[in-house]
Amino acid sequence: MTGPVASAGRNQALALLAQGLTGARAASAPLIYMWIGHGDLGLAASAVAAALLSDCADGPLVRRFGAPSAAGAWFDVWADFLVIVAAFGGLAAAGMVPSWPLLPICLSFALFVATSHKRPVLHDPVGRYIGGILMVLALVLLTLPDLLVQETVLWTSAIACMITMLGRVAYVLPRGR
Amino acid sequence: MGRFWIGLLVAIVVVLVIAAGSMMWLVNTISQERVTPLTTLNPDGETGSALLVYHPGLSDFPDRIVTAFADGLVQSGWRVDRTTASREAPAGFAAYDLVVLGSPIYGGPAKPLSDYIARADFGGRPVVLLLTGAGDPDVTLRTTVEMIKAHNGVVIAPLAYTSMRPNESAKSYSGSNVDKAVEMARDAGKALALPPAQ
Repeated sequence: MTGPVASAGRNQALALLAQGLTGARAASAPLIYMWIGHGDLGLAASAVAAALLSDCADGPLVRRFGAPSAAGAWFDVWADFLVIVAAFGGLAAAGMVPSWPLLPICLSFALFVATSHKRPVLHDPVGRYIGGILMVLALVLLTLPDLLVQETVLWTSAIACMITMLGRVAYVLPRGR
Repeated sequence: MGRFWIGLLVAIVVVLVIAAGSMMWLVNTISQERVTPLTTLNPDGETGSALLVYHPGLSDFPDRIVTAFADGLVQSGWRVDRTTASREAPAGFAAYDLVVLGSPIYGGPAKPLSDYIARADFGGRPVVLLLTGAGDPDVTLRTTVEMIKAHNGVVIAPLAYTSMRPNESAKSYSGSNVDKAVEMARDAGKALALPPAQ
């Protein structure tokens, strides 16, 4: 009898760990913003890297050991968004990069929020991973201080957001008519 | 291979293609000369006459730096002729007491400015070099100074400003590195003194 009970307890702990990882990711956003503002780019990069790892880990943990829920999925999306805006916004506020890439990032997030309830689910490989993609790009910005790399990363971020937005608009519009 | 991995692979390939395409387009853009008319600031300046030739780059950082430096020169009474690095930019320096060269760092100085230097003979004129970068500018600063020396320029002020590193060895300021760099460039222009003529 102790086997299944212990296993259930372990699964519950792992499911809680997944939620804790998502929560820690969301909580790291203000720190990332603050560290960039203070010029501690190494600390900010470490926090973004940790956020990226937690983003890779929390979904599989919940799916395997917990009960995936719509609320949990939203929490995950918002945590990603906060980290991304903290990184790109912090760099822009510190005058290290231009602020224009925040526009496509926020628009693509808003469009995701507006269209995520649509059924059947839209096949959008870039959009599905856009949070991870933008975190990797923020990490590149923080760790490779080079003007050409910066511009490449900013344009790549904007174009990736545009692709996912166009895909969603093209998918939603015919169904709205 | 599961749907998850196929989706991830597609996303990675798409992002890599976007990044490669963006970089090729950007490299092509920064390598192009941008021709602008010669504009004169403070035409009645009596301290001396300066020619400012620069490449604007992709962001407004290089432009803000050269503008601030030119403002500083004007404040201390210089007349400044300003234009971008191209085949249309003045190639004779006899009318000038000072040459100011500005460029963002893209692995080195932008190609239009290095081409301009390669075509020039500064004839022993004093040259101020204004570089802007995101990270450590020292290597590009050294190589560009050598290029200018090889074309008979005397670099009196090799200056480099960065957006992602503090612009003073001990960061004694708070706020934007770019704003600090602009302030430092203006002060450098204002305080510029030519070495005594030999």
